[in-house]
Amino acid sequence: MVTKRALIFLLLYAFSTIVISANTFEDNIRVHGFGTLGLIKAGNDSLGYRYNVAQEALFDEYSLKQNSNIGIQFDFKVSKKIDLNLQLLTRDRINNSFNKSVQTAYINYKFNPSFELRLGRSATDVYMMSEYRQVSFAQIWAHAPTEFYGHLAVDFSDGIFGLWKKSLFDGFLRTRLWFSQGKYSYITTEEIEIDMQPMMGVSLSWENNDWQLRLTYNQSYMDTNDGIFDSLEDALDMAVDLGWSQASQASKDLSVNNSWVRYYATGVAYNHNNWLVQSELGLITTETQLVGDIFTGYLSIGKRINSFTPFAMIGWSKTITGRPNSPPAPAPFSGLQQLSQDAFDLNYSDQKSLSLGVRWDIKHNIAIKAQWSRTWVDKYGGYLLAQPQPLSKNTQLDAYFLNVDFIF
Amino acid sequence: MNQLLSLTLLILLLLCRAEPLRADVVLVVNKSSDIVFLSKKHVIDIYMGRESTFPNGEDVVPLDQNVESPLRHEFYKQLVNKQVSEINAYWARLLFSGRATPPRSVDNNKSMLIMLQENKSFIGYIDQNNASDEVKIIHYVN
Repeated sequence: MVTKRALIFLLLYAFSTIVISANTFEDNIRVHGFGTLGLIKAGNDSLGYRYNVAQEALFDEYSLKQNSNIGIQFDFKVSKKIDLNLQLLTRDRINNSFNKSVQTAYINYKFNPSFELRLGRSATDVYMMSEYRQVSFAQIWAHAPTEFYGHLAVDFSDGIFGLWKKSLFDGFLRTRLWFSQGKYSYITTEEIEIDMQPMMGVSLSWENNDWQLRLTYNQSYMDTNDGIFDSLEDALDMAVDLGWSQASQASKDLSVNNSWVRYYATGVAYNHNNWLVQSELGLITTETQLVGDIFTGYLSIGKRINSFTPFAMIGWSKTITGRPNSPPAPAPFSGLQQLSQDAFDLNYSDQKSLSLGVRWDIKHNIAIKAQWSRTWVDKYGGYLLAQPQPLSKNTQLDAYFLNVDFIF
Repeated sequence: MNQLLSLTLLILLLLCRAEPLRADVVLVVNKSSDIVFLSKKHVIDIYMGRESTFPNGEDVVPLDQNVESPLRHEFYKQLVNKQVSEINAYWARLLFSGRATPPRSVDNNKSMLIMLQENKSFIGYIDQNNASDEVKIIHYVN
């Protein structure tokens, strides 16, 4: 499978060098693509490293799958006001159906230069890089900060999206509103899909030649047919009748059904005189005890020197509502009580990371990147990573990345 | 001694000529276009996907030189002080998030001039030495 994927990359790159000067085969149809061939070595025996909570993890192993992808995009200009778009993406997923591979598919109508409306599937716009998170060539790093982007396991949503644009000072202000629905994927021993319906939000961004500033708010209503801890919740409900009266509270606290999750985010990026500085802060609030409220962020600094851009980055993620506790239980239910406590601990986040790396633009459309990331995870705080058992002590793990990123 | 002096002068002459002459890059439009001048900010906003109209409200369609062209490199260096790979990374962000599409590439100066003659909405850049009577210069990039 790995060899086949590498061969596909080579064939597509060869194809792209042929068509790179002719990627408009008709005036109204344009085809572009992007890809990453990424080697990663990460994880240890007790913690699995993953891109986000919707991906399988690496436990002290190499992989060409986790950080690799390939995407192709078709843009069709129907008329002066109407555009059609289709973007397909293949990457490592548990479920690689065609539906999951369609990243965007929409019709865009421009009422005037200041306002356009989009119907269909579009990328989520919750964070600064949400819409192009898979396009590694557009980013300085080999791997985006897990502490921030690892929480976002919703690649796209289906609905209606409005965009207003207005000149402001020496830049442009963009206001985006959306009303849509999506699915949040979450991996425990299997993939759980949580319906996010509706998803609604607003983003304000201002950009000039050197600066990007951004504020976003998004709220989503969660519902799932497959509860994250269905069997455990059933056992707790039964325990109420058998003598553990507070088990019902534990069962209720483990559920995420019929609750809202809210994302608040702000970001800034500065690109001037070969300095690249980027930072985002995020607050995720939930109505559940299981996940709680999480404060997250990162700061990245890079400096371009000819074709090389060395960079450094720190990231953090912390559940600020504290570690939830399962209610005390009579002795016969101590095992069940421990299981519910483990379930809470698996969803508690407390980690920080430091990354160092370099990007080398070897050609105008190809970049090679190398990155080392060290993550410090506090006791119980490994929510973003894969844990066979909740962490019983502070721990740290390293990840190494080597990417070839390209566009065509 | 004379040989050493000659060698030194030769080396100095070679060093002086090591850096290639910078092209005078100009922005041009169809000669019958109503546009007579564009500010540097407006040119930057057009070529960075933030602006889709001329100051008079008419649509503008920017054209790029071939990606391998030294003139393209010179244009972006003088306009925004960025290398072509940086510009491509910037456009990858806009293109694959559906915000804008990059300027259309043409093969060379001759193709650029042909396209500009066909459509008043097009704007392109060429070496000033290649400007013809069929186009109008509206901005000197350097």
